[in-house]
Amino acid sequence: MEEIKLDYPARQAVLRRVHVGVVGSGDLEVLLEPSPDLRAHVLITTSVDGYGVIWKHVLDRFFERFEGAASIEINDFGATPGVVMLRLEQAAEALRS
Amino acid sequence: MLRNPPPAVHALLRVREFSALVWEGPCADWARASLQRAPWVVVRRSVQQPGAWPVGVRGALRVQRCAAWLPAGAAEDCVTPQWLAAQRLWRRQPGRHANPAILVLDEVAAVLAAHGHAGRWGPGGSVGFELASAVPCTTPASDLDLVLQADQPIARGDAARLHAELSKLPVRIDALLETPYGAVALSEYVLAGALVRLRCAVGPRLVHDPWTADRAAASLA
Repeated sequence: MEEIKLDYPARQAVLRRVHVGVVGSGDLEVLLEPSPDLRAHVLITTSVDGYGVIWKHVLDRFFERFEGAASIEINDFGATPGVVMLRLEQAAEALRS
Repeated sequence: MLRNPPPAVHALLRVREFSALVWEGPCADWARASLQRAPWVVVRRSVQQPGAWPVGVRGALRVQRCAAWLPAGAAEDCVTPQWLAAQRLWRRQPGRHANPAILVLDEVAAVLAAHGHAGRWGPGGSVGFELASAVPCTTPASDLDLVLQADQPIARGDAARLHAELSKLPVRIDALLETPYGAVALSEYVLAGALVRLRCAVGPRLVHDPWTADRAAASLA
């Protein structure tokens, strides 16, 4: 079990809360809500230790396009980077719809 | 319920010769040790290639998974999760499989049968592996992974009732519905109205309906 914290600049306010994904092996859940300041804060709790560099790479890529001031909580159960990105994009999409 | 059907995802193959395995990356030391202990591999979800099966080697730790290809002639046995369940294999050697994820299987069988899924389901993950190989690999904390073949759509209400009953059992159960297009987690499918993640041979996709896979694949990952 490992916790990873990442921060990113933001440009847009986030107005609501979304929850996507599931608790289950090879998957993750993403809880996204308005952040208290004008930045994005990510807190990852993962069942698999030692992948901090890969997490940062995936989140860096997501925040190249996502500009919301969100607090994002990720609970990971051994998802692949492809699945992590899919769930993050699903959360961003849910925010728009 | 054949013991030797053509291997599909989740099937367990007994490897005759380890040297026949073609590794996708470097073969880790733990993978060799693991194969010596239990010469079984699991068919992975991947785009098919003629003459070889996409397989995964399991290690003791969750991160220990190695991808390889097994030439068709190098498998000497094939069992499916459905076969393991139909045989009630966990009853064969009482006392040998002492972990909760295996002890709960009779109750799971009763729930699945009551929902009309007898013969279509079986244990995957560490439980399936332990039953097929007869080598202990579950722990007291192991979850139970279930595979349910669902060629025809299951209504969300029926799925929700099934999910609720499985959730009452004393072990955490992760059930996958295998549709003709891929697999969806039961726990996600029962959340009404949402997009769901479909695990496909080509990778994960978000779809509205796992039984039509939203043909246009507008939500391609």
